Amino acid sequence: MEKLMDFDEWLANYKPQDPEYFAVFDPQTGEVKSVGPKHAFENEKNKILIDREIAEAIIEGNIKIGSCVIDPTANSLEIAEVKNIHKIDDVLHRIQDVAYAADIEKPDLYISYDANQKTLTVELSEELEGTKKLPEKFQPVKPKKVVWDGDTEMDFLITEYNDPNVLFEMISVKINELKGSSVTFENIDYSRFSVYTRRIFKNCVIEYK
Amino acid sequence: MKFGYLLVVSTHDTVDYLKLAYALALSIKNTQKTGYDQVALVIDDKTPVGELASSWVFDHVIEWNQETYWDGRSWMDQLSPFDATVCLDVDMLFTRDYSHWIDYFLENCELYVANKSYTYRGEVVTDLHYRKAFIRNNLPNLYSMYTFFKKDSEMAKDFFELGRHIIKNPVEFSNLFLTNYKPRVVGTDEAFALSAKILDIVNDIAYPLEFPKVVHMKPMIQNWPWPAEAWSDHIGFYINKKGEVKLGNFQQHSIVHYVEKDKINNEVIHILEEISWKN
Repeated sequence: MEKLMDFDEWLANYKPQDPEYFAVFDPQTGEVKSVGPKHAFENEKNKILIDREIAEAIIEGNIKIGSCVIDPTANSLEIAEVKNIHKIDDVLHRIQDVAYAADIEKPDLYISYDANQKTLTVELSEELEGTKKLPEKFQPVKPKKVVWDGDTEMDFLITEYNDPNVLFEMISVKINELKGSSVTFENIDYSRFSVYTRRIFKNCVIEYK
Repeated sequence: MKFGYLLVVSTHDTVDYLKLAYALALSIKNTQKTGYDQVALVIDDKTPVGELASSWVFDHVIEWNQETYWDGRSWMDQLSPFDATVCLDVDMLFTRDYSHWIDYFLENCELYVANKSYTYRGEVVTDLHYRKAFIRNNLPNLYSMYTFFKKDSEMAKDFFELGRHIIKNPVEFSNLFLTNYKPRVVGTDEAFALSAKILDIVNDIAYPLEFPKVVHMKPMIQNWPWPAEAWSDHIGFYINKKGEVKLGNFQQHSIVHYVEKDKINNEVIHILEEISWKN
């Protein structure tokens, strides 16, 4: 007769498997059809393993299943929780000080502030048909073929240093005005300030001279 | 009685925990009164500490490498060089003087563990998204991110010893005590909560107080009507030249547990350093 293992020993060594959750989705639209434990979807073809916390949040109704999609472009196949999300950094982007932007080697938009002249100059990179020369190592620069509405206006909020809640003034530039020339604003007279903008260009920096 | 803050870090592949501890220590020096601003750092390799511009913000640097990452915090009672200590998570910033909290703890407590947290708008966190194991297993809602203890306390000694034992034997304790919902990891919060429950000292170490006030920036507990993966997708983090912190348009007066480690960049460090140099 087979001898049973001592119960206390079994309990001490018992390690239950973490439950695995899957999302079933429509491959055409990425729409999530259902979420549940692995065994519920044995016969489904279009399914992916998803994080337990997200799965439980969907099952409990804390995340609406209707606002979940599978992103087919991401190799990891994650759930994108909300469609059309606008991150705060996209609509209120702080233009980084070049002194702390070592990772931005090729800025698309370059602003320079001259504290003596009290002027703020806005330029596009020469790669985008602007006037800001890129460093030697990127020469010769091959212009990017970008199609945009030249009347698009870029607003720059000049604010208290690192606080867009305290607005000093707002200035605007049309992208057309930056093709082949720079735009300079005068009488920008603040001891320390930040510039925020809607993030039309990915890499934007400001140099304080 | 010598009081101080204890920060425990270790080397990590992707996160520079020393940088976070440095920012926190700077913010402590910038905001706390003399006598309430001592900081001890526990780190597995103290070589990089000497490379910091203001390494003096760490009054004690203790090299210790028996545990990795946050597990080291469960040894806080044995590592602290102070008679009375608050051990903190390092991804936090102080925004004003909290010495009156310490006066209370010194006078009234041997051991106190934070048992509430707040949203960035100052509301008490009630969302249970990250606390399922606590609720379903009827554990006290403890947050190890702010733990006060006195070194000579027998209760604290028992509490931390059992906490370490739980962290070392997570499967056994889960199978016996966390049967209604097994957490993926038995971390310091779960271990402390279970330790307090087993020792039956919850009412002694986590009774209701209006402090410590810690704003906990885990994204799903901010009372937003939408799910969030990262809080910084929805609101900004702003630290001005005085070291004052705003989250969105809310000025922060509590300790800010910012959670997202990338919030502490070289510019933030420079701001905090400048303030400390002027003090």
